[in-house]
Amino acid sequence: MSPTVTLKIVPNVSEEQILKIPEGATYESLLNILDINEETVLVLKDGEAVPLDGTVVSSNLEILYIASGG
Amino acid sequence: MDDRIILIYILWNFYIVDVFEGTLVRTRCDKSYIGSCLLIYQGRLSMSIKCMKCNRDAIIYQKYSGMHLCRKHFIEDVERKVKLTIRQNFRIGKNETLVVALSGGKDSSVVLHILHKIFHQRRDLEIIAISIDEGICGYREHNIEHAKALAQELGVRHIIRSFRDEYGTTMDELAAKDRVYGTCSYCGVLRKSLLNKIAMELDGTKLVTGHNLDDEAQTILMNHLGGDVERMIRLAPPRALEGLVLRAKPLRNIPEKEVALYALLNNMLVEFERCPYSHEALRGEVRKMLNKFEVGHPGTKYSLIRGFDKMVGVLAKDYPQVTLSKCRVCGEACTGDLCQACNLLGRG
Repeated sequence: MSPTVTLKIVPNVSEEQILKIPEGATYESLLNILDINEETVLVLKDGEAVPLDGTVVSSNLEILYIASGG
Repeated sequence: MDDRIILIYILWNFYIVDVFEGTLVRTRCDKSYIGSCLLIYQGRLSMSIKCMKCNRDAIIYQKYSGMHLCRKHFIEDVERKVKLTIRQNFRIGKNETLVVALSGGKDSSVVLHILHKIFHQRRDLEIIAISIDEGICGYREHNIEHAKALAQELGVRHIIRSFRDEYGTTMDELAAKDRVYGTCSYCGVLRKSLLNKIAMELDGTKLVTGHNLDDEAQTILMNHLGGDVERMIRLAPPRALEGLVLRAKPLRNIPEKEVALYALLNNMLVEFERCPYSHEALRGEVRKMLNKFEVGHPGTKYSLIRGFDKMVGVLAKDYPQVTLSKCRVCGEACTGDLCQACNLLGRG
């Protein structure tokens, strides 16, 4: 069964959205689909950091942009 | 609820609950069904990726090193690299005063946290944090509050100075004026000058900044793109110069992403607000290009700074270190008779 995630992109990028992810997809491939460079974000699954080559499971996901300053 | 507790509950009651999808369906079933469910369950449990150094769940995959690391070993890895960088580039002797430029963002917070962790038992060392309020409304105030809280928590002396008090203007005012250069040029030059001035006043022996691997790799690439060899040499691990406090960048071997993760794990994660003027910087374009390269060719950022560190010794022979004089207006160390800060402010 393909996992369902509640996804939020912060800061100030998107409201919470519910996404159905293809079974076996990794966090890295999810970022690719969303056209987000993996060097610029942290991915938190239920508040905990995850390795990007891990498989996406049903959870609350937060994609956190890290760049600060300028 | 912990998965294992749910598993025990299942065995006890001969019920199977769909714990994986978070639904509440509970079905009474026979032993053979439970057996097959357990196999699936064990398979799913083993799906979490483990740390290469222990059996805990990994929180990061470092593509450039091929390592999966758990929280504990990731923190150890970062701190090990910082200690190595200090030992190789910015050796800290006895009775030093380390002046840390603390903006309150993730990088400077992490560098202060780690320096304090490494050196807080050294009674002969003093760590002082300094924050500069550039006067960027809606951006800097939050970071300064965070800087104050962190310094207080660590018991580190903290000094706050502002562009307004020092230069009689703010970045918001400078940004609104007709100007020759981008806002980041004004901000960078004025901040560096003020940081050095305060560090000199405090008899600082090192001026520590939170520049990370991404910052360094971007700067090297920008200097290459601009053909600016002299500026590139100034980036090299520092040498002592009269009038300038020695710069130290303990995070220069830590990728920005790992600095952010370290901050998150140590509850120092601040809101990653972007400076309202940062869109003017060429750095943004270089950052984008480098990040794309890093994904396609992991280790590119490290390669850039390693290659640079090797080249710089050779280059320095053709580009000897300039002698510094004092600015005729403010007295700060500079290469001409007027420093860049005074030049930008139209003084003299």
